[in-house]
Amino acid sequence: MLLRAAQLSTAVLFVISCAPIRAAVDYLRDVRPILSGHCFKCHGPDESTRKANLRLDVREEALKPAKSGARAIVPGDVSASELVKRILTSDEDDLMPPPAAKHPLTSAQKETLKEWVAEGAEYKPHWAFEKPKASPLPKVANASWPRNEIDHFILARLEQEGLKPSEPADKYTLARRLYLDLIGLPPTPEQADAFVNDNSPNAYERVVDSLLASPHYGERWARRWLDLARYADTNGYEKDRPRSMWPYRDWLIKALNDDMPFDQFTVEQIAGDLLPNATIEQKVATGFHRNTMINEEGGIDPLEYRFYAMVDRVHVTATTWLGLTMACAQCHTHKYDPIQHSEYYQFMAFMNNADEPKMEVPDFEITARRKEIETKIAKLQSELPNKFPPPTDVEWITPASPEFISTAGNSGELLLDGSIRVNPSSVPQKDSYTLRFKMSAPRVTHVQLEAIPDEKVGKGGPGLTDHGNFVLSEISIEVKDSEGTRTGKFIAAEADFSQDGFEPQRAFDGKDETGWAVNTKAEKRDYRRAIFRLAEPLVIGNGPEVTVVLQQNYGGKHLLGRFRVSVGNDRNFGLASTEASSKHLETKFSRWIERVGSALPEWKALQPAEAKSETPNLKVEEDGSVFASGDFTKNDIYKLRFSNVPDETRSIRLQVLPDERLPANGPGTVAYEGPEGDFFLSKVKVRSGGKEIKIASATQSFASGGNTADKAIDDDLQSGWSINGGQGREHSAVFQLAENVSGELEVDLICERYYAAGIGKFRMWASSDANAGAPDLPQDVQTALLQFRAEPSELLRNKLLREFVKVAPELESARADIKKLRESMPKFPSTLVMREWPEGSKRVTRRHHRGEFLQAKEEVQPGLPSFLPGLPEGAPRDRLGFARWLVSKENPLTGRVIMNRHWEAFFGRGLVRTLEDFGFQGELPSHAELLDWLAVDFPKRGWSQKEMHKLIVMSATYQQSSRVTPDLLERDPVNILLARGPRFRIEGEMVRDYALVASGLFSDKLGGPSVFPPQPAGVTTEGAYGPLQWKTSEGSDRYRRGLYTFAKRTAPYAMTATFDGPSGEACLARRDRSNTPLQALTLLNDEVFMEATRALGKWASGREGKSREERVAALVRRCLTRPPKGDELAKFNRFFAKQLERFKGGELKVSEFMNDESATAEQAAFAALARVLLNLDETISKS
Amino acid sequence: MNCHDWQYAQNPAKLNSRRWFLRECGLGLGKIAAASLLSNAFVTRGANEAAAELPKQPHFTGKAKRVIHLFMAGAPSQLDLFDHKPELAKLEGKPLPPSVIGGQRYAFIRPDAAVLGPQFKFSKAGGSGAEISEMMPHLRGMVDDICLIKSMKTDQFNHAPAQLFLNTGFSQPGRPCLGSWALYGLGSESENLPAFVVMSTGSGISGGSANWSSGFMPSVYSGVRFRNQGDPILNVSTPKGVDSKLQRDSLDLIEEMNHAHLGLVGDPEIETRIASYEMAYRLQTSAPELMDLKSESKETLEMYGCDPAKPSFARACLLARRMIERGVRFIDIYHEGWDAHSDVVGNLKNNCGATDRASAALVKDLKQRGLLDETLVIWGGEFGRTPMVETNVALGRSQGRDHHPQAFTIWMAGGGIKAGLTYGATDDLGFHVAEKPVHVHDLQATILHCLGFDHERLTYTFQGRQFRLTDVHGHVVNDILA
Repeated sequence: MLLRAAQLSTAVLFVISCAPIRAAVDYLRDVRPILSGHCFKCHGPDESTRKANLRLDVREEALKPAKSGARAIVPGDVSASELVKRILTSDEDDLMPPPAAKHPLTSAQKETLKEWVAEGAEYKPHWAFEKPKASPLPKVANASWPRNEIDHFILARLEQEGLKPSEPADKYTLARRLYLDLIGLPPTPEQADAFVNDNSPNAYERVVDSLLASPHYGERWARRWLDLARYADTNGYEKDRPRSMWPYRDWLIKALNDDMPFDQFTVEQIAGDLLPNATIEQKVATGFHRNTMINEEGGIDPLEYRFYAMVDRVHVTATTWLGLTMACAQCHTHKYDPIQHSEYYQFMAFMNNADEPKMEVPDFEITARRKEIETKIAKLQSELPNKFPPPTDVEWITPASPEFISTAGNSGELLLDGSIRVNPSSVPQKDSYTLRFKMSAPRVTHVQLEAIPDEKVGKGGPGLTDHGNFVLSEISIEVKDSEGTRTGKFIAAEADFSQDGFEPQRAFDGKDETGWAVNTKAEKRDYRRAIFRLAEPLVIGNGPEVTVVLQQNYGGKHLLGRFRVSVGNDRNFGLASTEASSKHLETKFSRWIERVGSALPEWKALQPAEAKSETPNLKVEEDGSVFASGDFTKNDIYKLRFSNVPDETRSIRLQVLPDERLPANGPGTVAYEGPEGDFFLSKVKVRSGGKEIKIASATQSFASGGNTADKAIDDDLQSGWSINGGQGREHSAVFQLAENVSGELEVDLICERYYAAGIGKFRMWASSDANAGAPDLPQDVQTALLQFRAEPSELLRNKLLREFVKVAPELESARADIKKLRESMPKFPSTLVMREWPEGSKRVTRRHHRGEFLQAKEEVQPGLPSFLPGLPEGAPRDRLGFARWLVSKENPLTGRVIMNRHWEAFFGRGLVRTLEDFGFQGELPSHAELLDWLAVDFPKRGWSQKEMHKLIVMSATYQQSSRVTPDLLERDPVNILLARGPRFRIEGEMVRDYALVASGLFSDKLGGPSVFPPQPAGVTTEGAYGPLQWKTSEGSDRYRRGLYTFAKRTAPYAMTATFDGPSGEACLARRDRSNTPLQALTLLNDEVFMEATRALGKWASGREGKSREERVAALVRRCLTRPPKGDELAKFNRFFAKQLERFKGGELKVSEFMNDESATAEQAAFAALARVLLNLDETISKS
Repeated sequence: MNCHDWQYAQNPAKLNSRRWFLRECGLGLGKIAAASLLSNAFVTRGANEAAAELPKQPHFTGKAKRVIHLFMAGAPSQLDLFDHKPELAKLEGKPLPPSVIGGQRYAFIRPDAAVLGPQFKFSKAGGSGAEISEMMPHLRGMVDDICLIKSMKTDQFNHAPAQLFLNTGFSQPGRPCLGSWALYGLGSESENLPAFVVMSTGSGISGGSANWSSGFMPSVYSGVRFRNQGDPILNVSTPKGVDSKLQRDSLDLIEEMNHAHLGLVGDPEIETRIASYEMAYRLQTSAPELMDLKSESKETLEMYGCDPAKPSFARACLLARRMIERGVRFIDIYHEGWDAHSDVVGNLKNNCGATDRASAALVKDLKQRGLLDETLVIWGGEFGRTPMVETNVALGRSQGRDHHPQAFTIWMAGGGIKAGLTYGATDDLGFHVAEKPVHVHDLQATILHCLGFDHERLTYTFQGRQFRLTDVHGHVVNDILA
């Protein structure tokens, strides 16, 4: 019936393949594709765009008379059917589909519809939405051929078509096919021989079993799953920064190697965190849906991109498990499949109630090493009191006549007290003062800088700015004598006063922008002094030249005006005197308690009566602290209300607290773009009794750079307080109010930044002290200090002593080892996971009109499209319930979709060609009964993927030769009927893995962070907005399997990309298999393949006691598995001999070709031959 | 000639025989190889699949056969280059009325930021009298050859999404780009060079390779990067120690072996492999020949401002012309760095300095060689910049302009576009489009129209849906068609 053949322009092949040609029109095969492609858009499931109230996808609806009385379809009566009339009419106004739709029916299609109506217009339910049933095995004539159930289905169909299966493939081909399919690597010649020479009946099965047990099995199958999971090692979009995600990849490999049942495999990836007593691994598994991209571009709305990530999760889940094209329903009701617009968002709601944190993955070895270091630190810390030095006994010497040099060219006047007054001819922004003098002293252990107010300096000094401040950005000292030049290394410093964030220690941190400053006020100019201590004394002896340099690079004329430099010698330096030391410790300790304790105001904790914010969830915890969670925006306002503020409150303190639930342990919530765990407090507003209370000043215990607390009380929202560098610790900012408050108090904390930067956990305190400060001490130490002063006890004393030795400047050098140990502490790898919102809190999911983020409409509840079975009674309506539903027996899709994808991996084409679409627009299965049989069998076998793989490879179908006869090419060009074995190019990663294994360079290391095999550096830098320096891995990491190659989304690894590898930006259900000149260039010229080539050349040449022919043959075995045949050996030998001559004669340079000065001509000639072998179609194809 | 869908539809089995293909379609091996750069897979796919991937029959005769897209990534300030708004100078320092701003979201500034007037002098240029700023003296010299569109608008206000949107019609990665659609529709004309080439000359493309990706289409439709360092095409030069004789010997043996294997297993895909190696070999000659600018006259180099030894925008433009002469279908040149959040004046000085002369020279050169009629040149960024100033002490920014999706300017030339036309206009503040809006989807529809395609009918089926470059939107801007 030629007519039928010509009409199906979109599904030609089904005519010859899906069923023998029959006279009757088949609804699913012939009619539905036409209706779906041309009619359902306006007469389908989507009510909002339905025209004339006519629905053609449901039979009862199509048969109903319209208002006009006309009936679209009258079964068996063509002339009464409006549908037929409308598609055949020549009246353009009546014609369907309307000409404006630009999607006309062909005459053959019209004929089909007519015939269908004539034959009774039967409908059939969509095959994929019905539960699969295992039909009995079809009978076959050639009963000796089938080896298992699969073969019955395949053969029955072949016999129907009058075709015969092919001969079994030869054993070398089978070995190679099995290895490549099951573990993704070629067999070595030895492995192939072991199989070829094993004549026992179960030789084949033994290879299969050993490969299923190989750890490389997990790697091979992980790569395919990673395509679906859109795995990558960077965040994507503009910045495309690296992320640590490989623990998820490693979880996947292990799960596959362990043959984790597919239902469990599914549940752990979708909802592992929700399982009772979830293990670390189960949480790591939830990384599946954390492979979404993160946009860190400065101008984005984080909630908008979270929405896109959710959209992606819906699509990926639907594609991966259900083979449904849910994407259509994001914007409107699906035009083809029965998925309502709101159902799309109900589906989303299941998954839309989680936070997206980064989780550390404790590792046994790292845990042990950390413990070891922690023990050492604890020991050193307990020894600190014993290391307290005796009191310093410093003898100060002020040089009598130092030479003064100003880089800016200013002069200095030496005054009688040994100080210098700078006489600026012009005041530069920055300057550097050098003092050079000769002196005699045994040694120098200290340098002292005094800043002296002076009426003649600027507006009163001591600095040259109008307000008298200066910033000493760096100080250095150098001694030069007959033995050479020695530079002093400063280790500690103290000052009688320093400005917050400008402590004297910052004058030897190597940074120009930090230093010692004294925050002078216009009305009050104080004398200030800083003493800098050297780690080791500078030995001076007799009269050498000493140079002290005072760099002042802060800018803004922050320069010293009058100052004095002295050097000091601590006579007690290095003296070990236990008694003096412990006395000294005692003295200093008491003074510390006195000094710090007396400055501590009494803080009263404020219990919030209310804490709320528009977006983040603020929860008042039991201790009165507030924890923020959920979503954050770039402008979050925390509104706090307190009702029991003590009388005469004059200062309030914002204590920000670390918490392990927060990024980098907090106290902030920054998780992208900015420093992790930081926050940015841009403004604090205080109201009492409805009246705005002015904040007079602010100070803080810690701040990053210039982001001090006073920036949170200025009017500039772009400035504020932040604590980068102090993550994981508590900090405080104290706001001194301009007036007393009591009773009712409202506080607004505004966190505004070009990235989301909310505070994660905090607590508020009140004090009556108008000058309350914010010492950098944890609250419990402050409490202990106050308690101890009121009522001393041994317990408190010990606690405080432990704190004191942590900060005492005298122990700076003794603590150096502890600091080093801390820095050497190995970190746990981290990975991105899902974490359900705490019970009782729920993110509202809404329907988005036209799928647009900004058009959120009514709230929806978790639910499934109505054409699918619902969740069982009592199942939780959350991710866990949803995950279990995905793999429930009631779900008609998952088993089919998964088995179809596995089938495609082995045969190059799914039983349903459209792996990603099992809906109305998807293609029909070529072997529907086989697919259903597999789908039913899969859960019966405990959802074991390994068993299903074994079933497939054990079939006779799989073991056929892939030779294509002209007749078969004519009858079944793309091998739908499987009258021959599969033949197609291997995947991109496998092409490289293959060359590595063949050459012997291959590293079989499993798992771990991604690696950087050779590729031109420019690939990840040139034109990339977020450039990544591709630092090629050393050693065996150059030769790891392709799935370990670092995957940068905006600039993927070039070799794999050339061979159709994914970018990780979208879920990929089916990889393309292209065949291009760029691939040829890669195989011929790329460094990876040249390295493999050279290694093969050296290997072949190194085979002692073998003839040239034997070596060539061995090379062929390495590359092609099989031995050479026919005249191949002669051809190879000719090629080899010719190149050998050219290498020997110097026409070709051995050292260049081999990239090795010591290589031989023979090695090079073998390598040249290996290069040819690695380029053969046979090598990179599975056949 | 093209072999069209219907032929395959009626000859499904024959389609898959390469011999038939060669005979019936009258294509030489060269053509097949050329096709293999962009549409290789017809031998391994089913007939319907294969038909989907063969060049389409244009819906009508398109004037443009080729496209050069000068993508000014980062978004140039239209208010200082093309869209003269003296009103802004009057309002300088004051916020815009809230009624103008509406609900617009901005990337960095607050909507009530102060107005920043035009930073450069404008005057009328050419016979058409289009207003162009002094920063583009060379463009001023050839303004009668171009069509300025001052009423462009987009949906996206961040770089990566907006660049993707302009290229693929969608704000996230995963869909085919303009170049891929052009190849999908028209196929390749070059037997020796990739049909779709991508160059870049600046600091970095926000959307990355998704901008020239074929998305869900076969990967052969993706753009091929021409690089500034090392091989222009990765691995196009033979490794050290391999001379041309060894390369030829190796290729000969590879071909011999592949032929033998073909005879044995009969898989036509092997023939494609053989062709792809032949083409790779030719590419090894044609790429260096393309890159070698020795044959270019001093006057030409001078006109572009091109130093042949150094990668630059000028060199990329000159190479683009050479590619056009050699049959390359689609060329993207990204010049990045227009993102003037701070110091818009300095930014424009740099970037106009780097691009103005060569952009103008490219159009002039194409015209004088008679290539402009069939080559569509597009110049522009992914969105515009705000009439308001961007200042941010914390970020060290001042005198800049933020992202502005509501209105921006691009220009087009050649390939079926009316020359000497200024199309569309914005309001007095340059904030909104006031006349003849051209949405990004409209631009895409118009480009496809120039190539001979109805954007509503050039579709690719994926996941059960017929996808278009313009999604469900877009109208051809007929007024700018020649």
